[in-house]
Amino acid sequence: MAEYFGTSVEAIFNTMPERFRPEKVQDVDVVIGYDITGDGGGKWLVSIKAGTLNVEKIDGDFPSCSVLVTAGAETFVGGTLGKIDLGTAMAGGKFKVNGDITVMTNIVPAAFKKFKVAGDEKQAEELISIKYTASINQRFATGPIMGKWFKGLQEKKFYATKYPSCGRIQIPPREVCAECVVRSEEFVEVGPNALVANTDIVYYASPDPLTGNVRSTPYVTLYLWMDGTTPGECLSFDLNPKDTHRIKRGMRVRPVWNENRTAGIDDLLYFEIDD
Amino acid sequence: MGKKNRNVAIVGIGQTEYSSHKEYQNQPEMINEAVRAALKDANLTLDDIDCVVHGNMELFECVHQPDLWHVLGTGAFGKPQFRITTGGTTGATIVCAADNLVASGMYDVVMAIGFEKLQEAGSTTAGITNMADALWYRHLQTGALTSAEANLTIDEFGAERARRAAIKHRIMMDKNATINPRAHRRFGLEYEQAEDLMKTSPPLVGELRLIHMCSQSDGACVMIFAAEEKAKALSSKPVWVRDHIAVHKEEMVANNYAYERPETSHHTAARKLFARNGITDPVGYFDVFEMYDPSTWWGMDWIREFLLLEGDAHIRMVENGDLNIDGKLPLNPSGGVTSSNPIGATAMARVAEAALQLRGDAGPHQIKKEVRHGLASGFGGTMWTVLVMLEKDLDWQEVN
Repeated sequence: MAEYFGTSVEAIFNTMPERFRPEKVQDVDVVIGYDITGDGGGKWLVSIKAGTLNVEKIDGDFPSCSVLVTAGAETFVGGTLGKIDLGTAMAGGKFKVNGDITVMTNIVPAAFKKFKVAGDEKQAEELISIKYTASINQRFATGPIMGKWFKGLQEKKFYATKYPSCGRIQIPPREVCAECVVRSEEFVEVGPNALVANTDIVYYASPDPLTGNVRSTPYVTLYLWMDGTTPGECLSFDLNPKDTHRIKRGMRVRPVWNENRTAGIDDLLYFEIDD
Repeated sequence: MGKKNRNVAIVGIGQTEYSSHKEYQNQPEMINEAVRAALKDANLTLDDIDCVVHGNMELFECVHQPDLWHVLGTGAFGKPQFRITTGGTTGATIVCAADNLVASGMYDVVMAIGFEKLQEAGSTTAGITNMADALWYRHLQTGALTSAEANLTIDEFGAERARRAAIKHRIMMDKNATINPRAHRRFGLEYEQAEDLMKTSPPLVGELRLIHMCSQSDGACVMIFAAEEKAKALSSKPVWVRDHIAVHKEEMVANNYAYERPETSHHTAARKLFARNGITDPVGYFDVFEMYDPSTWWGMDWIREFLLLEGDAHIRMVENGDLNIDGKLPLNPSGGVTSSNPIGATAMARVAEAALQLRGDAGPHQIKKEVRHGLASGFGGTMWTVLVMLEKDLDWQEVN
């Protein structure tokens, strides 16, 4: 049997039952297909449901899977052992994940103890590192200009600053125009609707700093030209998830407000398509 | 720019290899590796260094005063030391500061240090998001990931042409990285893979796929700057810092994607820098351009911005291979930022790699034809540009 890094593809799948940690995946229901190509490869189906595991080597086509992994045998073994960086392999197209990538990044690492090459357990050099997770309670003063902005949101209003010299109407408001370097003391109410100038549909799951929770993907961040502002201004905000797959640049959107407003960013829930 | 009080040259360069993890070194040890390499390159000892400038992305590793902890590695004990943190531009800002410190006459020999150990920061995207503008954008930002530039490029040139040019550009960068022994990501991509990569590389945001985005790297870059008299005595191949410029725009990157886009900080920087140096044809003048390209889509658009091109001239340069290592104007022979991104060192590595090309000492990724005029850029998250001009010879004409 073909060996890579002192072990085989078969050994990784065969040891899955003894490495399985059912307590970590009680609420999980996923089916993972592995199409491992090259010498020593094959097709495996790994099912995790309500804390139970089933590993099966299959022939023929894959049934419906939550995620399908395609990789060469050497890449798969090297990635499992940490000898090959899987992020790099993925970026280079050598380790492909079709389907819900979070199954591979979150569920699989939780579901199984690390695979170790037999007899190799004590030989690894121990590199000691210190692990630390920072959790910081922060409090930021808004100042009068952004204070007016947040107070406006509480009243379902968008306030922009208008600059006397260049006529610019900027949102969110600023103390000074960066172009003409003149202070503004004039607020004008703008919006509430806007035109979508650009969009980001985000698939990459990153943490929300305000909650600590990993954001649910996909979500859309909008770049908006608010009614009543000058066209070089841009307000960036979230899109109502119901419109994720309908949104297009050039569409018009309207704000959706939180019923309980506290003069904070959560006063504005999101924008949605103004049908 | 005010007239330079005296000329300044780069006389020493040291870089670590850039990689995703450096578990075997702590921060001072990693920096020390680059410090020793730079001192050796300049044939100097720490006794010759008058001042140290040190920096990285502010608080990314959550250590305050890292310059003090790092004294063990920097050798700055008992020396004047400055710490500079300007986000993504840090490394280039350190170069500007070191140049100014020597040009002013304050110090004769200054050592500049840029580093990052992103492995210890946890995640670049989380770091950028967690420390974004606290009053508004923090809630919305997804690190430096955006498809907005890609969307606009596709609008302008059509999806097919834009996507093909982008992936060709990315593969060209990888081909350069593959021959740079210090580059982090060296995939060994071939142009024949373009079709496959365009479809299978995991999407991050819209048109931005994993293959298009820069790496998250560990590493350090160290450069030594000396006044003209010392530089000529110390080095047989000094590289002269002709001029540099820093331009900032609005506080929020979102403005860059407004309905009517403002002039980018890159364009402003290039326009002003070239005008005051009498450069009317940057593509013809420069022999190498090391650009801070955080993603392929940004990098491709910024060719146009920095080189003051119009229409599809930048796309044609990519399509025609004009930016290849043997092309008209080699772009990022090092592989650039999509291959290696230790943030605090990244912008300095652009200047260092351009300087190595002018010296003829880049190594396997040395441009084959003579390199006399170099350009290097730094970029920071909310549109902050540093642009540096380097010269092999001290023979340029002052322009008033």
